[in-house]
Amino acid sequence: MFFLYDLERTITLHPYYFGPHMREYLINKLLTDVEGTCTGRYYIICVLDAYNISMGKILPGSGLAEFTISYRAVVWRPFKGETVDGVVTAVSKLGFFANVGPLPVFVSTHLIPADVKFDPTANPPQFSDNEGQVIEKGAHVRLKLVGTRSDVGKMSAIGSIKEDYLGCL
Amino acid sequence: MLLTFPPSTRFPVTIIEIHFAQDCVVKKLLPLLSYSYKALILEEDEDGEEVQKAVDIISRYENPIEGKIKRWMVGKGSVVNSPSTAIVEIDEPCPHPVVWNNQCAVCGMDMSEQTYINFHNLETANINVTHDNTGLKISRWEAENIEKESKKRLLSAKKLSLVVDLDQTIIQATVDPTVGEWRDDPSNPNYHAVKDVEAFQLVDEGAGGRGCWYYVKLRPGLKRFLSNISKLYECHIYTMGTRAYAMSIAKIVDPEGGVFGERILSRDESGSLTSKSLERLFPVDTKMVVIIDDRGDVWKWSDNLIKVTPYDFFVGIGDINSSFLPKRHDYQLAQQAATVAHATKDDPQVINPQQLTAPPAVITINGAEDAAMEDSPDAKKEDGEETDVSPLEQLVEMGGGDDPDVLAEQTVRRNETLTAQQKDRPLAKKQEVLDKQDSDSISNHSNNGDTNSESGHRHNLLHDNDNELEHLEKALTEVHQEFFEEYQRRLVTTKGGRVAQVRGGGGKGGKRVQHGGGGGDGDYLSNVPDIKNIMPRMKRRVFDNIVIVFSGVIPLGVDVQSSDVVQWGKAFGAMVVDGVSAAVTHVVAARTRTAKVRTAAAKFPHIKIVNPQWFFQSITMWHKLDETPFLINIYPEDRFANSSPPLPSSSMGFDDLDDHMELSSDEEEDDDDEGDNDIHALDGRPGVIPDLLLPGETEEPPDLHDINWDEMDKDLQEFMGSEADDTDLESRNGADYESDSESNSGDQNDGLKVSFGSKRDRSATPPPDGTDEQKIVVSEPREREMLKSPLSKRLRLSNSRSSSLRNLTLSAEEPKVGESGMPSPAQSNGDREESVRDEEEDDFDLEAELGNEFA
Repeated sequence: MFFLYDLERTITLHPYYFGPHMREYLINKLLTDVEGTCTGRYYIICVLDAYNISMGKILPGSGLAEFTISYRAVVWRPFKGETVDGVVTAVSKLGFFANVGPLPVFVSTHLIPADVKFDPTANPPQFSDNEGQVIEKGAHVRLKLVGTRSDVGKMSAIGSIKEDYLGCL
Repeated sequence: MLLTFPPSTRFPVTIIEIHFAQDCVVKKLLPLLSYSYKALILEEDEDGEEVQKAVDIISRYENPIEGKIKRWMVGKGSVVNSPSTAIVEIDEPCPHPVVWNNQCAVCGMDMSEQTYINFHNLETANINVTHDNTGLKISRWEAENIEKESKKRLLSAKKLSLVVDLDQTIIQATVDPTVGEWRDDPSNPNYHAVKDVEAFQLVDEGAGGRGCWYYVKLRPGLKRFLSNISKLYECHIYTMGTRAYAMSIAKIVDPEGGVFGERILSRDESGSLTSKSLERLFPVDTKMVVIIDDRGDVWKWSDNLIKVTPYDFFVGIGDINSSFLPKRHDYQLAQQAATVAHATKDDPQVINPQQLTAPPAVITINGAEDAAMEDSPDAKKEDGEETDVSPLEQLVEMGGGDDPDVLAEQTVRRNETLTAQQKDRPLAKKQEVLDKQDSDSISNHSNNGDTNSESGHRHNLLHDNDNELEHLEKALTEVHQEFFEEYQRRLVTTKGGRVAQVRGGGGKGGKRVQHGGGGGDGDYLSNVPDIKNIMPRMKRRVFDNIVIVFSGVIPLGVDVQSSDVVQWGKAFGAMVVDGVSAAVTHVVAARTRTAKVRTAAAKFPHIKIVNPQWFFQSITMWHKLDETPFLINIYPEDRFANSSPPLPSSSMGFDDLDDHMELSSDEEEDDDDEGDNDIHALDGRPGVIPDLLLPGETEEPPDLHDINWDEMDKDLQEFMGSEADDTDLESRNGADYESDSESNSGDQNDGLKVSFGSKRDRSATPPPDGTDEQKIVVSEPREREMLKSPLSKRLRLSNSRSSSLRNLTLSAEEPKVGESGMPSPAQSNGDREESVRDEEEDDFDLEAELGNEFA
């Protein structure tokens, strides 16, 4: 699910950049630093605006300046039970892997309907119910997250297509 | 799931109360029951003294997993004595059969979660079965299910599984940029061999991170092999290369992906860098799996393995991905025709009978930079990465296993090897040498009338003449056929109600069965025969009832019974013994005149003495070949009951030594002139003909390679000045047989004497063969005794004293004696011209020889 979060970030700046374009530079640095990262709980998709840049504070001894930037960003936080769309990246006899945006998801054969079977002889290997539903590398699938897991700086999830309206798109 | 008390509990414990009834749903960490145990504690009594007291302590057992209580195995008041007694069974809503990234792939639960109760969920799913993603693990139960499914599928498709190794099995890769140049240069003699070499670049590894080009040569006939085999087998790639490497190779050998698909396992996922394991891919059972690999040791000589002859197209390159493996102490079989190989001026030797009839197999174990290699292209067929490693070092290396330090070091070494290969261009060097030899041999052509005459054009270093895959395909097809015949047979017998004798009767029942008709899963699976039984059975037919002695095939210092060749032979049903006896049926000899060959020829006429080609080709073809084309020409004088006049000593020149430098064999076969240091090995063997006396082959213990001969010569001459003179005098006096007789009569050969004998041999006296030798022994001893100089007598005396020092001195001096002995310079041409003499003409011979020397 997408959210608008108010977040804060502290950026230190080398004295070289002190000058008329300092603000521009700070915002640039903020964008490159945080956009597209994962905190472990959510992904920061996009920074909307930086509404407050604090006064710079010179760090004693080094001459660097420290700024705290408050910004508003669109974040995506996957939830257990959420239905999402993804692209299949790999297919094995145990299930298939898909990417839901930045989030890698595994859908095991236990959570694939019984009539959708693995066909290792197909090239490339695929899951198929022989009625037009073919899940192979590159296919688009709709799936439901049954569990998410957070690590430092990354996330992963378990998905299911064993429900109505889920599966190949 | 059955729960037990943790092992840390103080048994015995008594259950006091059970808090939840059957069918209750219990959360994690809720106390399931209370129990008491006895303990001794220290208490202070009224007087303040410490007293030990037994008390009952009450404790609670907390639920480690969530679920429904299925049933209690204990009741109130029962006593539990050990951690193996189950107390309660809990039905988990999810058994977590598949785990990905520490997360159950069925219910999404976090499996790495740990509580203060020491209970790990991860233990349930611990088997890695996928080819690519190592984060995915499944439980044993799940693995069995999956395997059952795939087995059913394979059976109905009439297929087996085939695990295929890449390097040196179906392809050979090198990073030597020379290949690329040759490929683009049609005028190069190697152009035809390398024109279809494929190249790819891997950026992430190699020297300097700039990425290096890999040149890949497919084994001849590979495309056809794969397309045929993939109809009978489901193929998997299992390689010690990196994943990127394996994918690139797969793209080359199987561009459509129809053969291997995604079934590629590389060392990144293998879990071990030193060995391969079938269990990694087939955790439950390996009944339907066949492996093809060029190395048996990494598979621990599994019964599923078909060991193929290593593909050695880029000579001297070997397996670029083997730096993590234990060094290979393997023979490398020369495949080129021998005649070409020996048409070099550097070894102007008499072509001996063996070379005329069959290509000699050159067995090498090491030594990329040895001068020996430069002399004969044959000798180049060795693994360039390998250096001479003692068995001990090898053990240490293998023991090093997966220790991170060792791994890091090996990674570095691998990169170094690759860099070295890129820089040094071993192939270019070898071609240069070959070209040089060619020009040399042209200029010397008139001198060597007997060497072959096709040296007019540049020789190519690389030969594209491997046909292993044809035979391999045949063997695999046979295995497949045999497997399914047996399977059908079993189905019939089971259906016929004769379950008890699964393998009985059946006979040619295969055709009567309609495949896959009736019978449940149980029938299917319990009737699956085991490749582990079928294949060895088929292989053992090859050398059934054959007892082999290897001679000159197994490198010195390698344990015979565990060496690759022997293991290989045993897998094909041969019995391999160490010594020649009446039970032996075949002697596989790399050279014509080893001790074993002579013993076999002299004493046991029924023994077939063949060259290693017979052995290896039989194995390749899975069929015992007729020995006749492979028989080694035995010198007539070595033959049993042959008293014809002795042939000239083959007297290989000292230069020839280089050819065989790498050759080494069992100690007792050291029959060459230079190998006198093994005399002590003979001392204890009265039965063995003292082969030191017999000329012919030259060989040298590998560890003597680097000795500075010239310096040693000088030292020796200084040290032994007078003795050397003595010797010469002696031999000129015609007392040449002295040493012979001595070594025959008493087994106490002394090094010095023997070297005299061998020196004489090399200097063109006829070789005393079995019978002649006997005569001599009988007739001449006394005479010789008298001719002996006092000095030699003294020497002999001192040498016959048993002392450990003696052996030392021996080994130190023998090489020098060989070289420093006066007559040695004459060995080259004079030898051959003179060698067709009878022993009566000895004195004359010597005179002529002396003349030669001074000429």
